[in-house]
Amino acid sequence: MTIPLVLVHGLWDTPRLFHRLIQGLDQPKRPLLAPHLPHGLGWVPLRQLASRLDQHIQQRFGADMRVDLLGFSMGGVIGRIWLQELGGAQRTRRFLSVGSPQQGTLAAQLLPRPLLAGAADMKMGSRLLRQLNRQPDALAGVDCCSFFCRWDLMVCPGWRAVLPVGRYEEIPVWTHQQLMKHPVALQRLSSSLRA
Amino acid sequence: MDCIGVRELRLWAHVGVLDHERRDGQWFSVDFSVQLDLTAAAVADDLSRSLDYSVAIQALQALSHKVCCLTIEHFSEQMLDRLETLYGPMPMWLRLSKCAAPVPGFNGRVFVERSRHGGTSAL
Repeated sequence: MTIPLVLVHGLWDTPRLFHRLIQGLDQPKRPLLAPHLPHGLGWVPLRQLASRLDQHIQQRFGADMRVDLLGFSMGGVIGRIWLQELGGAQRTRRFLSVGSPQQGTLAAQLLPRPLLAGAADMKMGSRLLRQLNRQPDALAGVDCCSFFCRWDLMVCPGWRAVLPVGRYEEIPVWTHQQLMKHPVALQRLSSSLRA
Repeated sequence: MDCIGVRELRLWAHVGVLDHERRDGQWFSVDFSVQLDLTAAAVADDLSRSLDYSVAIQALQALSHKVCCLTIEHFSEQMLDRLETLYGPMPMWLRLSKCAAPVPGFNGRVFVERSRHGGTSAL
């Protein structure tokens, strides 16, 4: 059976974001989960969202079935928390982090944590990211790949939108949103997900 | 009568009576045909005397991106509207299938067949 695919959306987005990618993948027989993770305007802490992601995955695929995981933007950090802290790494074959602030983003630096705890988790040097980075072996055994846009203004600087482990690839698009919309990006991501 | 048809166009769309079907999306498959006399195009090897099926495929893909409704009947109605907008009031037919209907213990397909202007199944 084809390994199920889990898609995790980011800040101020919904699973509809992945429509083009799913259509381009054209794998109707592949089990697919793209859960909606309501996050207010960014006030829900990312660990809480990762816990909800875990519930969705357990409910759909049980506790052991292997999955591939793709997270876009904030969704990549939520996915990483699930992998590193909630046991996801033990059942995940491949993790694609797409335009995700795995090292933080300058765009989040001025956000007030009391009001926007989730968005503030993506500040450079946030406690969450420091804790995740202190566990370099936590992703061992997972085939990790980070995709980034050099000119990204949401995850800035764009070239730091990469995991501390695994391969990374620059996608030649101009904006953050194009990472999930531009035909070149979709082609690149589809190829990686089909491999 | 002659026809041009497309089979197994797969579309991801947010259509269904259950909330999660509209929220999460699911796969559909479409077969459609438009009936017309293809003799002139066949003899002259001239696309302009036939129909360009690629524009219909793209139009239905674009529709699937936007649509959010309860029934496959309504989804199919919008498909026929798109085809008619592209090609005019010609005999046309389509079958729209839901690839994995959320019915416990059921693994088959559910479909609707629709036609306009006297179109008939080409399959």
